[in-house]
Amino acid sequence: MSGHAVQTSTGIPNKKLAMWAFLASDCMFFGTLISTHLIYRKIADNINIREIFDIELTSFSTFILLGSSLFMALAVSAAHKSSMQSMRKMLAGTIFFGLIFLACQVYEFYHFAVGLELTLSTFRGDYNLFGTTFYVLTGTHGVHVALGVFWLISWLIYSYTGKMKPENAEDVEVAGLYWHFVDVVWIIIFPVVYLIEYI
Amino acid sequence: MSNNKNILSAESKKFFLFFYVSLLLVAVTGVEVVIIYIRTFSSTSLFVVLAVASIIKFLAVIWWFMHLKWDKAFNTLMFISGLIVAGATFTALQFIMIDHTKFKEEPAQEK
Repeated sequence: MSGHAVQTSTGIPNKKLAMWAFLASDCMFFGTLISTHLIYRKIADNINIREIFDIELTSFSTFILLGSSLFMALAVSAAHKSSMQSMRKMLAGTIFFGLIFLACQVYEFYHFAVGLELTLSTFRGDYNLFGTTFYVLTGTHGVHVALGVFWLISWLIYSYTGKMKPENAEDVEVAGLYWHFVDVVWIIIFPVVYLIEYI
Repeated sequence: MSNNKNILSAESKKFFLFFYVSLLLVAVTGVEVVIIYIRTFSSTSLFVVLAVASIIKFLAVIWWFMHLKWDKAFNTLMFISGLIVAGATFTALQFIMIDHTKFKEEPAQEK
């Protein structure tokens, strides 16, 4: 499937350039979300965050997301080698791991909201803004993962239509860039939001 | 034909590289989790280890998995520029809010 690169003035395919520009802007987006979370977390002093977090579950999610990144890298490599069967298997692996990550996040949110009574503005009935920034930050990341899963599912389905061309290897690579970025964001969120509490 | 052979050869090399990078990522994440569990290090040491581990993982993913190693330098520049703005915003907000949190912690003095 590889080859047939379209000539552009930058020498970079337009779709790839657009994706890198989007990812650069998304860095700023997540940068502000993480900043806001850390500030509100410092102010929220009537809450023991260690009691809330489940590091085992979050560590498991982290390993799952790292595994999905390997599958994605191999899917892109397979697409460039025009190895359709291999690409499908690797895309399916990425999607499966992405869904496991989302399931862990849904379980975590449910446990926090119902089991620990951590809502957007309260913790066990007392006013607290920790939940607001935590849910917004991790929820936004979760939405990114969900969008990535939908995107990869669409490519997997498209690969079975028989319409996939060599040029589409570049499109799979662009989807891969997005997926790896989601992984990179979690690489920052995991220590900054979860592990930092144990320092 | 030779172009196809070159692509196959290059991608086959990447296949093993991706495995090694993935092993590195898993190992570094393992270190992060283990040092939090054993808690024998000082807070400063823990902070430094977590920061270095995150930077290694971050760079490994963007350099190899996101193909920046093989892509045009312009992509790297564009992404780094976004990171710089994000980092500057992060730092500025933390410094601005230091005063706010201090204000909250210190009780108001009686006149």
